[in-house]
Amino acid sequence: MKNYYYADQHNIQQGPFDLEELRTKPINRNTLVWHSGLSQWTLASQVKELSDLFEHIPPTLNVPAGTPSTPTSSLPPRTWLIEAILVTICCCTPLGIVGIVYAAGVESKWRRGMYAEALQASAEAGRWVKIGFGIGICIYLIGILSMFVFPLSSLGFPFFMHHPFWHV
Amino acid sequence: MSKFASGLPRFAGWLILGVILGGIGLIIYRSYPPESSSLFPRCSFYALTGWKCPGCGSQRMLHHLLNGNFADAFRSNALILISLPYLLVLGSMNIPGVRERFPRLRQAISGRIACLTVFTVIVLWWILRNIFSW
Repeated sequence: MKNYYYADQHNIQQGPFDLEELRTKPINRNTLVWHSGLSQWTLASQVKELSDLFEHIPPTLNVPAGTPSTPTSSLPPRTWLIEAILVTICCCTPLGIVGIVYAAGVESKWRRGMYAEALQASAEAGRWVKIGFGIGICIYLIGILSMFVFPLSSLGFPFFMHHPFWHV
Repeated sequence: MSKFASGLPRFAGWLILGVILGGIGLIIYRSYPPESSSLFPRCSFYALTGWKCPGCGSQRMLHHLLNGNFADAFRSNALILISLPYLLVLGSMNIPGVRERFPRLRQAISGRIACLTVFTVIVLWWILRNIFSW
């Protein structure tokens, strides 16, 4: 059984659902849907298992050229910028900076109508921020533990603890 | 509907937890200079390379700031001291409801130009503080 997910009107990921459950959810042509096997979030109207849902509903009238189509919600996904900055200055500078670079894409892609790409940039930024935060916590805990765990310290692990800076 | 089932918004629990933990953190940072105990986290980048990271000194900065000692706070980490108001506004965008209410402010502080500015400033600060020992 495939698991399906969709982004609701607040761009919160909902799911997993099986196909029958998903078909009862408030989705329209422009709802972003994902199931295993898809590389990207996809408009519901382009997912063939769902296409019959919209057969009898008229599509949105064509908007003038150059105007982006109406988003599923006016609110872009979160940028993770503040979290990325905090990871940069507190935990793990390189991963935080990767997070900031991904954050830069979120709002601008959303405004240009590239909703799936904006969601993906947001997810990437969030991923790097969480990895960086996890690494920061791990390094801190290793540092604390190594003050108490004598055998490991005597082996010189973790080696950076022996830098004079550590013994303030 | 179920959101207010317990009489409180869903995020109230997180808010209360955040206020309590944040309060304890501020009291700790106000009371103890970070150099006083090795329980305060050290910068592993500095320990490994001997170079400062962009955030080195931010704990000392917080300690001096909470004690009203602005000159020492500035010397500890000028960039973070100066950008504190920006960081507070940016962080407040994560409070439910605020993001929707101030779309233009949000765009200005977390859009593409803002992010790339943050990126440039942090990298420049990282390089310059190691050259000039800021």
